[in-house]
Amino acid sequence: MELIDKYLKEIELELAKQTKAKVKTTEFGTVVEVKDGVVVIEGLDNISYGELVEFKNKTVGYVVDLSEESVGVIILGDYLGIAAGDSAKALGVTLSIPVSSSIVGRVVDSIGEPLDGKGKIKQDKRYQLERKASGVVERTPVKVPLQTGIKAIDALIPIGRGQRELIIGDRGTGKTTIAIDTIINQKGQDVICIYCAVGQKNSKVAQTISLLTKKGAMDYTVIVSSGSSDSVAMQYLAPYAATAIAEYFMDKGRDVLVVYDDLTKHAWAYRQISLILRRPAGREAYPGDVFYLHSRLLERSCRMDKKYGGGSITGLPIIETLEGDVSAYIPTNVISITDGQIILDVDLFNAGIRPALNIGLSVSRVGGNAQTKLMKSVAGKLKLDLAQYRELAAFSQFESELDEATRKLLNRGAKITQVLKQKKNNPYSLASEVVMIWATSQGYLDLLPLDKIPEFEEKFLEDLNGRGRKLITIIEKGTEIADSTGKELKKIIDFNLKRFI
Amino acid sequence: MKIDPKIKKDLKERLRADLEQKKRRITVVCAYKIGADEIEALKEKVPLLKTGEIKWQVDSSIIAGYVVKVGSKVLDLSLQGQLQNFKKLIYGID
Repeated sequence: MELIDKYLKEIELELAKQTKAKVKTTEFGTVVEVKDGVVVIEGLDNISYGELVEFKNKTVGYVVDLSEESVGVIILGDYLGIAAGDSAKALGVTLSIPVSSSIVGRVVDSIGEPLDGKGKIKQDKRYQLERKASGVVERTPVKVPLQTGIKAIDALIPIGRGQRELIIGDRGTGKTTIAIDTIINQKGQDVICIYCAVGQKNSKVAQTISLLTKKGAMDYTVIVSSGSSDSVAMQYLAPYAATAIAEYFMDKGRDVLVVYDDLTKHAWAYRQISLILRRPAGREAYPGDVFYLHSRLLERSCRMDKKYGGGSITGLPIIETLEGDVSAYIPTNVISITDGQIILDVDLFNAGIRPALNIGLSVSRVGGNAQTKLMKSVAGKLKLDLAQYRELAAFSQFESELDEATRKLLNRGAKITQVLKQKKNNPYSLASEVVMIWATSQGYLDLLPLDKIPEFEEKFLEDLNGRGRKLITIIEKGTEIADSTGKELKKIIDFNLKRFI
Repeated sequence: MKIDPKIKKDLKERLRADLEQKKRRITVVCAYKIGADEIEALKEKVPLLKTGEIKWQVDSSIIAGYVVKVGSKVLDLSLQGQLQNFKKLIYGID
């Protein structure tokens, strides 16, 4: 009895606390037109840009267009159930996504609905999809490196945490591979990774997920996916959703890596919405604000000052070009927004140089400050050798007529090119990268035939990780490869070289 | 083709008037036909109703109470609406 009394009292208290039910006025409108993924509504006189609208069949829409008499709404989800004449109710809230730390390892769509059948995402907070990028005061220069595990990138085009580095190239040149390898290499690096797939084939996304799971990368990765069969509205919102999730972790002081794969399709989705809404079309039929579309997205990548949490968002946007045309509209736009670009080349790819990095044209505008001292100590010489090689590469056919020094340079260049090749989904540790590059630029591989290099590399690194564990720890701790360490390394190299020469 | 600026102006004027009118159009839906004293009481409660002509409608599906529509604004004071909210509250929990 006592319990019941207590319970009743509790209820009474609760009732007393409740104020009278508040009456809220809601805005209503009527659907007048339904187009592909876009609905035009009349009424809704007092609605603002970015508000949510609910239709009769509980589908939700997002206001993107306000004209004198009508409101343009993009539909989140299935728009087939909406008919002209249906009523639409303003919800009075803007679009947000539920986030919590349990979102790691999950696959979600653009509005935070799970796609992996593991139940609803636990909600700790709701994050706005559109948020203003951090201001100047809150930021600090990029200083900490983000190791991609790819020799060529870490040595020549280093990426820092908080940087935006564009990956650009034709279809099938390994753009996604570079991004995925980078995610795989973040294991144990205290980086949360977010892979945002926009307008991709669902089979390809499934493949990526299974690869990440196999490599154990799903423990720190979130996948935001809106496939090519999803509505354009979802494709348009996916990158913003991914960034919102990234911001949640950044605000907690974590380092986050976001891969936008790819922004060309994102621009296509936005172009479709704009054309249906009859906005004036500009170059390549993209609307006038297509630049702002990407700039406001990528500006949200940043390195926060210690005072403001110290987190960071590294952005790796991907852009697909047609026949290597980087001067098309979207590529030039995104190149100008980002802090550098990794350009992938079809010719190099077909010549067997994978990753097909165009080293001459690729740049990293801020990553140099972030490169570790150790890598810097070996990469400098590599860059010089490569630049000289490129100057002389045209003469390589007349090798017999060249003098000794030039021939040596050409040989060294060819070796470097070979060493910078790397199998996919096989990221290297920093020490392995440094040792390989060091060995090449010291000229220890000059006598090794080109086709034997991959085999030698494999055997040598295996040996190094076995016998040379001590050396690796010394190298990792130091800022350069000291003479004494070098001598020890040389012994292991020579031992392995004997098997091939 | 050049449009006479006067026609353009008239058209704009007309559109604006239309919009204004639409904004002020008031509809009150009740569950049954109500008397004058109830109308007075309702007007006291909802001052918006005094601003213009009211169109009265009877719809028994709202069960009880009133729904006031002013332009695109809707003030739902019906039992039906309350029940809808209740339903949402119960089923909408994560």
